[in-house]
Amino acid sequence: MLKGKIIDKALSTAESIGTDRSRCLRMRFNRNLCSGCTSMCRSGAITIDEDVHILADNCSECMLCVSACPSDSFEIRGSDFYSLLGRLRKIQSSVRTPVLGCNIRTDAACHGKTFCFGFLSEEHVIALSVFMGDTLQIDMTGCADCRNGFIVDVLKKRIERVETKTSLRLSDRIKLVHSKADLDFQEIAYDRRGFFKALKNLTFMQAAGLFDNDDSGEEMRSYSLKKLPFKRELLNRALKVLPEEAGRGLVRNYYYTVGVTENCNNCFACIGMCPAGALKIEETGEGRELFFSSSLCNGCGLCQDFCMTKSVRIEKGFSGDNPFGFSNTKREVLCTA
Amino acid sequence: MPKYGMVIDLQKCVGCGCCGMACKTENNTQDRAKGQTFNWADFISRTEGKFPNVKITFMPVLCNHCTDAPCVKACPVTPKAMHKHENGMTIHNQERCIGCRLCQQNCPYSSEDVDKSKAAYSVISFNDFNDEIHPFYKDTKELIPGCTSSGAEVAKKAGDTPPHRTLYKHSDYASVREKGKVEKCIFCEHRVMKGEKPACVASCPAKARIFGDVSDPNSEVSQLLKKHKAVNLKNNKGEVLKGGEKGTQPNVYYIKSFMAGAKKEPAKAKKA
Repeated sequence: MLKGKIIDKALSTAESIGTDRSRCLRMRFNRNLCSGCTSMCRSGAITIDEDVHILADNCSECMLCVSACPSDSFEIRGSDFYSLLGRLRKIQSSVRTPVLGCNIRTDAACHGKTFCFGFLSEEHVIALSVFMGDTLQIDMTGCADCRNGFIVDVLKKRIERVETKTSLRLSDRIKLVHSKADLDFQEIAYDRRGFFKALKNLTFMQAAGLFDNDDSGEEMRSYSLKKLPFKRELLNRALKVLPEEAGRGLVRNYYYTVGVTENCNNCFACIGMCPAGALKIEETGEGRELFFSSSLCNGCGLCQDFCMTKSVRIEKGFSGDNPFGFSNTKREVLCTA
Repeated sequence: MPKYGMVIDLQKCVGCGCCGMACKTENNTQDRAKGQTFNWADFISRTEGKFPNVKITFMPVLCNHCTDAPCVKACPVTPKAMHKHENGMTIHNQERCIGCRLCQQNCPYSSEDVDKSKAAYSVISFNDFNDEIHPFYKDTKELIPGCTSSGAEVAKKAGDTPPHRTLYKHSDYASVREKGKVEKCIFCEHRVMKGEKPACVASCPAKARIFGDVSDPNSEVSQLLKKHKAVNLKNNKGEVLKGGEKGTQPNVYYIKSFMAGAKKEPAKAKKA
């Protein structure tokens, strides 16, 4: 069995982005016109017809599509942002300013390697700034010569946008380093014990990779399955540890409110449409009503577009007390209502 | 490629309801609840007149597998969850269904709530987002405390399905549906692919249901349609399509009349 797996691994295509059409807004609702990924893609590698395709020959793996999709239709194979975050945090005990590098460049020294920085959405940089106790350096020294050089501007703009929307001062926490002279890379000094421990960890991780069931291509991806997009999960985690004042800015700009007008006939079709599971039915004294949780909403707006009585309204910003709870959409206070 | 259809001989039908029971057993459909019938093979029975001049009519109904299926047109997902197969069947894909119920709204033979709309039947039924499906399968309560075991327990011990559950496999649909999804008659495609007849056809003791290829002029269904004037149902109130009316081009045909000894074409079902 292991032999087969190893051969499979060796022969499998190197495509690093997987797609899941059941999450795609245009697949879920045929009148939706979302062009988040196609407008972002500079190489025209994405086509959407009966499925979401990435043309491997054209794709430069800048990962912009991954960060642009509101509902996680794209997935970077083998990426684990949490373990990357954990590793960088751990390193901070010995190195003050860890360096995050990308795996397009194989020669550069860094403390953690990830895919092209294009996958770092606004939500990702918020999480990085919140969870990295001290300064993180992002090694962009190679970007100028890279086919994905445009990422520098994209990431800069994303950081700026977060700073204008919230009170988070990201530039103090995340440093985009463009020239080698500015890069402050410190080797982690491993003692003998540390070296063998690292070697053991590495071996285990590689072995685990062989045994995990990543035959995702054949897995039944049910449209009705609710899945909270990773970006939203990151934001929720960040919100829980942020001080109240900063948190309020986050909730105002990155969270959403869904409310319904009195025209709502309780058909609950929006519940099925929602890819993230932010809507549900709850029994109240007046019968079954539609309830909404802001922490589970990715703001894709499918519920509003799909509503047959045109009574669902989605708005940016959440003004309630607790974005993590469910509340009745009939009583939801909309700013423009 | 055949184009499947069904002819129902109302003269042969005695209204025993075997088709309905066979369907419920074969496809593990739930009990009627909250305005959803879950009866893929259903029937309209009507008693009219005053004693001694009483008239009873009986009409089996099922999904018409329309050629011009409005449920398919309405389905908002890509690729469509409700879709036509080349063999003419309207098949529902469970994996892609999101439970918006647009198909139910658009099908002339369906209602979102049969009780509220006072419809005679609904071809498409919806499994609620919150309600457990076939709670009986998981129920571990003893039927008689301290004496018998539960169905779920017996099934587990025997290594078999719970009582009244038929297992089958199909690439589009499952033998038991999921929460938050619609369901409807699939002409027992899993049986037809194996060369068997749909469960309702196989079980009919009067051979009143004839299933076959309507595009083949030599098939039994085609022969019957040539010999007898056939009508199609128009909606879920029992009205039939008049001559010239095409409707959604249903592929379930009714011939003759339920009335004993009646020679005339089926009495137009009046509104009850």
